[in-house]
Parts: sequence; structure tokens; C-alpha cells
Amino acid sequence: MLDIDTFSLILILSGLILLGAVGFHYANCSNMVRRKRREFESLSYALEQKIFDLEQEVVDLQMQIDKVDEQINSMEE
Amino acid sequence: MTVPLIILGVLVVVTLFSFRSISLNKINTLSDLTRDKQAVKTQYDYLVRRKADLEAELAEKEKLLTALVSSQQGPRIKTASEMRIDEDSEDERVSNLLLSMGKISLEENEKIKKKMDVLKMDFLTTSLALGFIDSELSQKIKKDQIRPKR
Repeated sequence: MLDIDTFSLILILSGLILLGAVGFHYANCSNMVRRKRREFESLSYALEQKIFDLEQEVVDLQMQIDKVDEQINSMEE
Repeated sequence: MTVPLIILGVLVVVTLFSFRSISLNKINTLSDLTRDKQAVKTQYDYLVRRKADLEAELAEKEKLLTALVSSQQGPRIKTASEMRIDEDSEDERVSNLLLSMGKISLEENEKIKKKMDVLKMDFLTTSLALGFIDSELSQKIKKDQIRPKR
């Protein structure tokens, strides 16, 4: 049978291992969140650029359509 | 004996609680990011669809306008720019030149064009090879007549 000091030491070591596991889990999760956030930011930046371009193109197309509409109306009158 | 056991029990509880809160925090952050990403993607998809719709609408209206213009003006001959003559290849220009000079007939022109693919040669060389023009004319056209427009 283990004596009291050895048993206490084992318990304290177990506690330290648990704390280490918490630290490891925290570091893992933080890394994953940071990586995902970076991915999202780069994707978001690229998409926002494309969205800006698309908005310009949509406005241009709308203006072209309005112009063609005007021409059609003037031809039909 | 009891105190280390209590300390260990407290540590186990704290560990479990920490694990749970860390995991929950991670899941919440990731779902927030996914939601934001989805929102940006939805906006992008909407704009792509809108652009496609507008392009289709514009094409349709342009077609309508063209139909209206031709119905009011009647049939007309296309201008050179509409026919993209300026963008024609050198072969095309040689072909037009030889036809306009009367050196080859339309049938011969077609024959040369067909043979060009087989012989893998340009229009002038093919017509020379088939004997529709002589080498003198070929040289003249090469030197004087046909210069790519820049």
C-alpha cells in the first residue's frame, strides 16, 4: 500500500496534468479560432472587392438599360 | 489524506468547467464567423444573379431596339465597321483583293479556302500552288498590296 506522502504527490501531479490539459485545449481552440478568423477576413476582403465591382457593373447595366428604354420609347412615339 | 483528495476533486471540477467554457466559446466564435461569411456570400450571390438578370434584360431590349430600328429604316447594307472588315485576317484581305481584281472567281475562292486547311498554307500560297495566280502576281501582292494595317 502507498504511504500518504506518495499518494499526495500522485494526486498533486494528477492535478497538474489536468491543468496542463486545460492549457493545451485552450491553446488549440485559440489557434483554430485565429486561423478561421484570418481565413474569413481574407475571403471577406476578396468578396467585398468583387461585390464593389459587381455593384458598379449593376449600376452601369441599369444605366444602359435606362438609355435603351429611352431610345425604345422615342422610337415608339 | 483528505485535503489532497479535495484539492484534486476541485481541480477536476475546474478542469471540466474550463473545458466546457473554452469549447463553447470556440463554437460560438466559429458560428458567428460562419454567419458573417454566409451573409457576405449571400450578398455576392444576389449581385451575381442581379447582374445576370440585367444582362439578359439589356440583351432583350437591345434586340427590341434593333428590330425597331430596322423596321423603321428598312433593310440596309452593313457598314464596314459592322462587318469588321478592319479585323479580317490577311488571308481574308488577299481573298477580297484577288476577287475584286478578277484574278479568281468565287468558286476558285471557295476551293482555295477549302484547300488552305488541307495544305496548311496561307491564302496566297495556296492559290499559287493551285495555279490560280502566277508567281509574279503573288510577289506583287506580297510586296505592294498587302500590308497589315497598324
